[in-house]
Amino acid sequence: MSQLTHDAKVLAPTRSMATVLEPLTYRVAALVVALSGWWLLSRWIGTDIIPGPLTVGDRLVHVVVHEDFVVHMISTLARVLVGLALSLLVATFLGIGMGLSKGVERFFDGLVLGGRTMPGLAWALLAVMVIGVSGRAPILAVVLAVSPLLTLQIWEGTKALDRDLFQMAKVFGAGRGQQLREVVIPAILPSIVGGAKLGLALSWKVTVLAELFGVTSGVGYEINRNFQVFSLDGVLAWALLFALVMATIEYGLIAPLYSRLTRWRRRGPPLSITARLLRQSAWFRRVADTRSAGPA
Amino acid sequence: MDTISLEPDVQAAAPMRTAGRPWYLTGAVWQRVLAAGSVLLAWWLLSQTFADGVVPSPLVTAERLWHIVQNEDFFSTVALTLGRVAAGMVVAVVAAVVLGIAMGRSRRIELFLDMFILVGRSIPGLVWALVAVMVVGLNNAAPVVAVFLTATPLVVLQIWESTKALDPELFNMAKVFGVGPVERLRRVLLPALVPSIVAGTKLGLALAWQVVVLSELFGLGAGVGYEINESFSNFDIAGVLAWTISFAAIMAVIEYGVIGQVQRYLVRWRPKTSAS
Repeated sequence: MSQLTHDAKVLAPTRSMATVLEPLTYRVAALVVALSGWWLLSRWIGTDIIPGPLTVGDRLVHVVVHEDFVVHMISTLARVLVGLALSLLVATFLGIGMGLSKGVERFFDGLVLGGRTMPGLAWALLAVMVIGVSGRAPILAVVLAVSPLLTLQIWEGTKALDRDLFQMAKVFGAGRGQQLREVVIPAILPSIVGGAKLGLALSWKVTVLAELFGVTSGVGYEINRNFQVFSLDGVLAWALLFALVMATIEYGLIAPLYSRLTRWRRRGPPLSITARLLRQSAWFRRVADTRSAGPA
Repeated sequence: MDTISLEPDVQAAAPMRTAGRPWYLTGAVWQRVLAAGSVLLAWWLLSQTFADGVVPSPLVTAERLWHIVQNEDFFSTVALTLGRVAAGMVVAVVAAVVLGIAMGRSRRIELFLDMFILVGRSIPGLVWALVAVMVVGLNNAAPVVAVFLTATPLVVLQIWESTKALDPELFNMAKVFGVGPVERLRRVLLPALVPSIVAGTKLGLALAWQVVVLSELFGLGAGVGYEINESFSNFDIAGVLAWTISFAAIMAVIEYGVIGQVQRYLVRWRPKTSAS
């Protein structure tokens, strides 16, 4: 994500051909060097130990066409999303509660900080042991691993709220429910989405790990199966494809959403190139206009 | 310079304030004891609802832990795994300092390498552990390679970003005063980067030990990961829990206790930022 920020800064000032072409040249050069280095390494050490880029490329196509990539990908993705959604639910309640009430905060802060220290591996093993070989094990693992992280974000976001906002809302006669709906939730929306971004990266790693130990479908299962038959090109092909899908979701979906939600508080350059393109679209302008024209 | 991300544990510690009374008498402490107690109670209740041994009770786990510490070469196993983590981290941090500074100072190197850093960061440690075990084989080099591949991108990211965030006037001033490039690196760049190097090491360490445990789990003949795998394949769930919890606790002590202290010591010269 930070690379995109940085890119936007580099590209922003002038849009001449050279400023676009120069990074592109370096990117292509880097890719060529990396691929040929990989190829030479596999030649040097032995193609049976390190498969070359072409072998992995072949396998990549094979995985997509013949090995039910879509099916496994969807079942993994469903586990990731369900786990993440449940974690968001838990974390929103807990985080807001901890941010607003000292008693709740003191009860849970140790658990949240302790839970964040526990590694994904521990949660994955634990979930598999408690639930057994079932599609619910990865979901439980995600909830256990991701909730503390999200709660921390939302808790801090709530604590950072301007207390005067509450005073003002009270003066204008807003009740508790209305304060929550119209003061707290909009103000912590960025930390919820920011947390979801962090949480997504963690939850798909935990899901794959849990699938590896205790499920018979999904990308983690396929990676483990390829490892068991010592097929490195299979492991690499599955991992690369999966990372590609997850990166697309993160940079293409969540990052623009985040930058849109936080635009009102930061009038600087948007976070990503995608967001910049999005901003130029008529649809987005209309949404932005209605937002700024509406009740601020 | 902006606040570099050395803050997370400072922020984490911030919510714990104590009043004027001694710490063990404040309501804050009792509420936390209550919290810990209810976790243990929930764990115990969970263990009672399942059939025998599916979820071991806290007591059984504690007994198993005690047994492990006494009988099963606990300390040599932990030392072996810690050694692998340390070796991997040394390689990763040295590589990351070199790469991060180069990327922060030179735009060409940055454009050349940034793709790899970002892609590398999004590939999970699990994959690197598998790849390292398969390519390097079942020997001590595998976990080191796995840690290097997993932690380096993360640490590079920290150092690269804070190198870019440095005030260029510092370098100009050093240049005006006739300081040579080597001295500039030693006296200007490195001291300013120390906080982000330590913060990056801390972040990397949290990943590194998991990767080491994973690669031990996938076939190395000894170490904490091997013991976890042994227990897991014998359906000895108390054993899995005992090994995992004890090692996680040791790593947490190292992360927050040792490195946190080092971090505080190394940045003591800085004025307090508004974050606290």
